[in-house]
Amino acid sequence: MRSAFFLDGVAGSLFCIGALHARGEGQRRKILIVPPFAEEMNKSRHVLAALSEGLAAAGHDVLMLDLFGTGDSEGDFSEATLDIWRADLDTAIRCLDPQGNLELVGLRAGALLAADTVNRHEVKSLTLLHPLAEGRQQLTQMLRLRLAGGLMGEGKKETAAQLRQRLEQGECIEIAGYGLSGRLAQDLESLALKKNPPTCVAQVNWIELAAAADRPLMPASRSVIDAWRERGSAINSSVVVCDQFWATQEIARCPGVVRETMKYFAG
Amino acid sequence: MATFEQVRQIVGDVLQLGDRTAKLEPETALLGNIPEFDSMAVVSVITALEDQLGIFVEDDDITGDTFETLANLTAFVQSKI
Repeated sequence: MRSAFFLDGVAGSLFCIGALHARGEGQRRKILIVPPFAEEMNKSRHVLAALSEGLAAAGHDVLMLDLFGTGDSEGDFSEATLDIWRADLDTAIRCLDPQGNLELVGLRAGALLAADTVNRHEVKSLTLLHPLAEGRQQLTQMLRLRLAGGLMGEGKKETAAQLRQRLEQGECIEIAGYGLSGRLAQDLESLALKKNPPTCVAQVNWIELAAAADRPLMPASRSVIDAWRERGSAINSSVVVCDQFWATQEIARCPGVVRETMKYFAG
Repeated sequence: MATFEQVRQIVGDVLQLGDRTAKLEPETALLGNIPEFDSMAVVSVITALEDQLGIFVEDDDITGDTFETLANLTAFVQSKI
């Protein structure tokens, strides 16, 4: 049954959408989808909703949650920490049928969080949709957004170094309506795919979006994939032609990424 | 060497300008002229230039001038390669 509901998270109620079948019914995959946050979450919501509907229609158990302080869940972004998000993801996983294989799908920063989660649970597959290789990239992007705002406005000019220093001192900085705490900035800096190979996961699927099908994977992706393969990971990678829907001005659809992801969950 | 053409294509793709991409000229003003060019677009363009041209941008090198015209942006990119 497809539904929207709230789960009790460690710090507040978590908004979820999902299609959960009665426990123990048949042989299904159980899939947890981890979205990105801030503006990327808003822009990518409909693509992830289409993906979860597609997976549910294929008969799988699917759960997608808004992490604490993001989307329609309780809490303010400025109160979010990596520890809370980890606990939220564990809560969501407990809500899935304990029978059957757990599989994780994450987009952008959500992919970083999904990869961070797999080594705490028994996970059969990990699907990364245009993942951020490092949390630092998210932080850089957020700081740039604030600096770019400064390019247009009046006000005194700030520098990236000043902003980073204020974060290091534990200050909370507002960026496009989101309060970024020093704590979360530090947490994001600590996340990196390369240093956290999903050694217990049987299959990793890596999907990247590009402007043309013959584009190679980005150098940063290549480097993570090579490092993970050296540690024994089995990785499929594919490139889908599509706008980067989490960053476009207009809401962009991306049926290609839904189709490509669904392929990995067929059969 | 990043060409004007590459930079124009990246800006056009990121801003989803479609047919308008071909009409961008070196002296076309960006910030304050193209309505799609807001602060989010500045961030997306920088990120796309880094990803696709393999350059690394120090945030504090970026000024209002960088995004004044397409020629300025191209010159900025060339200085990073």
